[in-house]
Amino acid sequence: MKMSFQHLAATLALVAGLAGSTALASAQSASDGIVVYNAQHESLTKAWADGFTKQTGIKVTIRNGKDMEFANQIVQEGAASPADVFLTENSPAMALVDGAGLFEPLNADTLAQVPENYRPANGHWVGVAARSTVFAYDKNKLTEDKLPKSLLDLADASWKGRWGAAPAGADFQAIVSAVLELKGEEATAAWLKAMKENATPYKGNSVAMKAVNAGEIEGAVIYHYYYYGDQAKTGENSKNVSLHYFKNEDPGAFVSISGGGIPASSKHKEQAQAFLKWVTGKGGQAVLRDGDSFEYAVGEGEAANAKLVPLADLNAPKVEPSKLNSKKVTDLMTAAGLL
Amino acid sequence: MTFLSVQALSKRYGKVSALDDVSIEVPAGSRTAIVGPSGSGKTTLLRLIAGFEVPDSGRLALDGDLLAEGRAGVPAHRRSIGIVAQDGALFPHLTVADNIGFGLERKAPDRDQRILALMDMVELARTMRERRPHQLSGGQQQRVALARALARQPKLMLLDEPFSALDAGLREGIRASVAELLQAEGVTAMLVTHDQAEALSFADQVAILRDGKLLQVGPPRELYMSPRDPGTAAFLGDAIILSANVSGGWADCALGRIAAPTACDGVAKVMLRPEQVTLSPVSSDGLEHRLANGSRYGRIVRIDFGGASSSIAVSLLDERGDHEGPLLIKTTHVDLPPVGSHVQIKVLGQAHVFK
Amino acid sequence: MLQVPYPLVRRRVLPHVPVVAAAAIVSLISLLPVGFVVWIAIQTGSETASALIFRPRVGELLINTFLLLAFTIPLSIALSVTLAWLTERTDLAGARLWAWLAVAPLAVPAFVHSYAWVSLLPGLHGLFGGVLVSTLAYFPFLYLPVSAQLRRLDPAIEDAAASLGHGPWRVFFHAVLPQLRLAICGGSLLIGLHLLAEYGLYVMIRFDTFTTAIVDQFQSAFNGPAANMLGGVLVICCFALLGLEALARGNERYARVGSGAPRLPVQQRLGWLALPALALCAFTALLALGVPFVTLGRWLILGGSEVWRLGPLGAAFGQTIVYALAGAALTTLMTVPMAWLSVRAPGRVQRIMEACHYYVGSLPGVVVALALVTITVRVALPLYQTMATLLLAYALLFLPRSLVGLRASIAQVPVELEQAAMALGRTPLRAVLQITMRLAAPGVAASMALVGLGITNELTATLMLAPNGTRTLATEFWALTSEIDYVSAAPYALLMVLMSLPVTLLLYTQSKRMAGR
Repeated sequence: MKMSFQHLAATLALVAGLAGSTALASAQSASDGIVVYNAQHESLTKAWADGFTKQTGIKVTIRNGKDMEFANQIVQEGAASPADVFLTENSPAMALVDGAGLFEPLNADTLAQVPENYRPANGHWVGVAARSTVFAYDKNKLTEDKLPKSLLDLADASWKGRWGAAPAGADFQAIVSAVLELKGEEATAAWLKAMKENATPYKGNSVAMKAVNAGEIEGAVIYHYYYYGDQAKTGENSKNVSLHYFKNEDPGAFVSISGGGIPASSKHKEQAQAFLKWVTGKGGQAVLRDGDSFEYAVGEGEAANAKLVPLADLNAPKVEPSKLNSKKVTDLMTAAGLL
Repeated sequence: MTFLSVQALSKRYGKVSALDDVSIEVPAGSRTAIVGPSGSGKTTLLRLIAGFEVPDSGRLALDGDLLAEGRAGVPAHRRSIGIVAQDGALFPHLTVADNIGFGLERKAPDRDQRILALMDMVELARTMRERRPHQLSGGQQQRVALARALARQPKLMLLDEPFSALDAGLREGIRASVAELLQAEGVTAMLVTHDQAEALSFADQVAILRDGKLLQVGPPRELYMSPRDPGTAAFLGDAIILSANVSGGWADCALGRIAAPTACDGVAKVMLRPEQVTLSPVSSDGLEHRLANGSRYGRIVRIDFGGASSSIAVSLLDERGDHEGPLLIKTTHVDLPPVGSHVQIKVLGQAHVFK
Repeated sequence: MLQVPYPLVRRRVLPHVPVVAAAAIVSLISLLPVGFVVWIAIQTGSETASALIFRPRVGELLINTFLLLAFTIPLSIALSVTLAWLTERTDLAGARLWAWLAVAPLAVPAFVHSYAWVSLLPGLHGLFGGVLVSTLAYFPFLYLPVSAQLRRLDPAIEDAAASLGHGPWRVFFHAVLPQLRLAICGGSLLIGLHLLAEYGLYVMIRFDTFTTAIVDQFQSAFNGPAANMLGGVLVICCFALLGLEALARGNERYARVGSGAPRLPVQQRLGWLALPALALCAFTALLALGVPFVTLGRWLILGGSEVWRLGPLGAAFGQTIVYALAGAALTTLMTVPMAWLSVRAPGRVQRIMEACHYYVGSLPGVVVALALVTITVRVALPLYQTMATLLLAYALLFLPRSLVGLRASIAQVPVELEQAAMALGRTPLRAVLQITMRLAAPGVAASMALVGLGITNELTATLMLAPNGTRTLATEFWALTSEIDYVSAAPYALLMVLMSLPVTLLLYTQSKRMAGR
């Protein structure tokens, strides 16, 4: 009894010691290098971080979360924020932090790598990638003539129960912010109300696309790269799916800009600037072109993945990214009962 | 000389008074037994002395050191009072040797020798030192507990019904050897028990507690023969209590004229211990005549055979041959008279008169 | 003349002041989450608060929650009472094996259950899916107490009922079932609280509950008023469940486990029912264990050796172990004063403090995390995003698990041993540590293992509170499944299951031992 207890205690101490050293080793990585608040797909940011570390030797610690969660978090953290870089999937979160005056202006050479339409005029953050809104539909059920002409058509009673989206995600909320910017508050509220009636809510775009593929719904409002990503892997979740681009400067043709910024509170500004410079430069944009993220590259003169419909052909509406109002969108969606 | 002094100690638990104004003096080197039925407060008294509980009022002093005064007190671990609990309270995860050495300085150079010496002292075989408590008999466990408490050379040893869990056969032997050991070591001891025979045989001084109050303190013999009231008398053992007319050193009662202390004349209750009464068989012829002579006779109505000692119910015969209520008498006679036969009743020694 | 050997220490009416103070501090800390909900409701203002609480969405979530509870709990009761009766009271072939298989699903975290089901039936969703997977994941919480109680029941009562001319069914419903009430109430409460708190399962199965809605709001606006108000409603739901259970339980109390039935209960002969009974046991095991293990196995085979990326896997494993051990140690430390008090010095104040310890464990992780995020970011910034805060959250969530185990183990150590140590010169603190805690150690270790298991499978609080760079098995698994990378997620799920299995085995043997076998 006595012996066995001592054995147990010794074993526990040994396990604790081993585990403790592993944990300390990984925790130490957070104290040097930079901390990235990452709302982008983890695999993409991981690829960027690995490439950056390989070239510069600067360590990158990634904290994963969502656009608006981090934006509001950075605002609350204020001067105490541990974040050195903030990466999003969409621009409303960037606009929120910038509106609170919490971004450090970016270096001119970083800004120069990205065309003006993919960054705000004040240069407080920069586009790092882009994605296009699409209507992913079940090609067995819908033919081209039966597709909606505009995103707003989905409010029609005839679409009740036939389409879906992921309203809790920042992606869809960015699309709503484009609707709000282009059509005004009243029209947006009415459209969201109709959506609550008509649409099936899913957790995440890929889940919504799977539902289309499985024949649960006829179409879903998502971003383009979920389809390409799946096609590149097994195609199992998208074999019945086709993409419909709304074009015509319709709110549904909205191209969302993924942003990168540096909180003014960062203690490692130099390294953070270097990171964003690398992401928007040759190395980072090549990850978009050659990797399996299938997001659009936005760097000056950088080509997108050859499989994608070129950005220039999408006929997207003109939306000033810094004007997208995220707070209003969450309030409207909360009021509509979507959140 | 007073060694332990308990002065006006009181303790309440909520509305229940566990101990009410108890005072007792314990001489150095003596053995005191606190005896009382369960719920009498005897364990509370012990816990107050040990320091496990705080008195509401009163004062405790040991060997000239103040231990407690009202709610203020010296904590238990600084009182140098040893305690042996009912079931020994041995630490189940430690060996016999580690139990005994628990109170010894861990790095003391002579630690092992002292443990062995203690084992010898309580008559435990040295081969047992690596055993665990669950491998010991009840008696051995109590010896370990005693050795453990003795190891710290306490000023006072508290024994909390240490023999009650032992087999009847073992009990007396261990009790005697413990008493002897304490005497030899010169350790003042206080025993708490509900067993009056144990208290009487173990102690130099016996204190009787009931309902939190101290009824009587004194040497065992004195208490047994001269209890304060019929209740105390009955608690300490079987008693024959009779109404009597006492005058001039004699008590006249149902058992005839019995010697009594002087200077307590009048109508009173008197007490005899059954051992004071002897029965001798007689033939039933001419009993009326002999009754008139002043001798006392009775008829045996029942016998409860109990091995070494049996109890005999005798109904008294008075001058008219009538029967009074039966007397219960303990006897160690080998050949008991048959039920229905007549006996002559004789009384040895003095009757005790209740005032 | 008396001398005073040591300064006399004046003791107060309430003894053990330091212990009471320690327990009181823990009780106050455990009031933080509810205090936070009240504080934030006041801060939000009644108008905004009521606009956020009295809206159709909250109504929807209430209906969802009600339906989920109303289907899952009765279904779990029916399933576990049937299984318990079959394994404990009948001549079912392989009863021991089936009994173990009815407990084993606990080793599979709820969100791994749903991961398996969604992999198998991608279309499974909504109320039906939620009820199915919840029942399979949680019914052992009922099976354990019900089977233990069945084993303890005096068979004489059944004999008496049978001798009065009742058939076996009537005997069961009139003589046996009423005696299972306490076990059923307790197990149902536990399941109900898990249903309210679970996040991962319902996200995968696409069923909205308050917890998923709160996380949605958190991801859309961090700790905004909408999330906090939903948290308030969720807290009220938890209290409602606690109240309901108290009502259903009536005046009965959870008695301490006795020494067991005086004789072995008679085993009912199943007769022609033997085959259907075996089929039910096998079917349950197939759904609750077969599905997770087969899907897990399939993903592991599909992934091959590629998915065993030892670097990240090892780091997550190491961190999980560290959090589990440190969290279990902290939780135990925090519950020692209360456990000791409730055994050694029970009283009214102590009972109130004990209630504080218990209530906080009924709160969902998301509410505790919301409270701690907001409190640390606003008023205790040095603690923000630290390991300490996350460990505190774990401690709050698992206080009851730890307290129950500690209490029972301390109660097994007679107070006389503590006092003997004091009489032998140990200070009260050392007496408790060297004797009571040492002897309680095996029981304490078991309850620490239970807490560690809870921490290993915790998701929401970890996601919201973890320091930068923290990756546990649960969060890594979650990150990978969120990207529908089911193959890479499989090794993480496997590790969690392997870590949980020994603890589940411990639970199983403990319940057998408690029943005196």
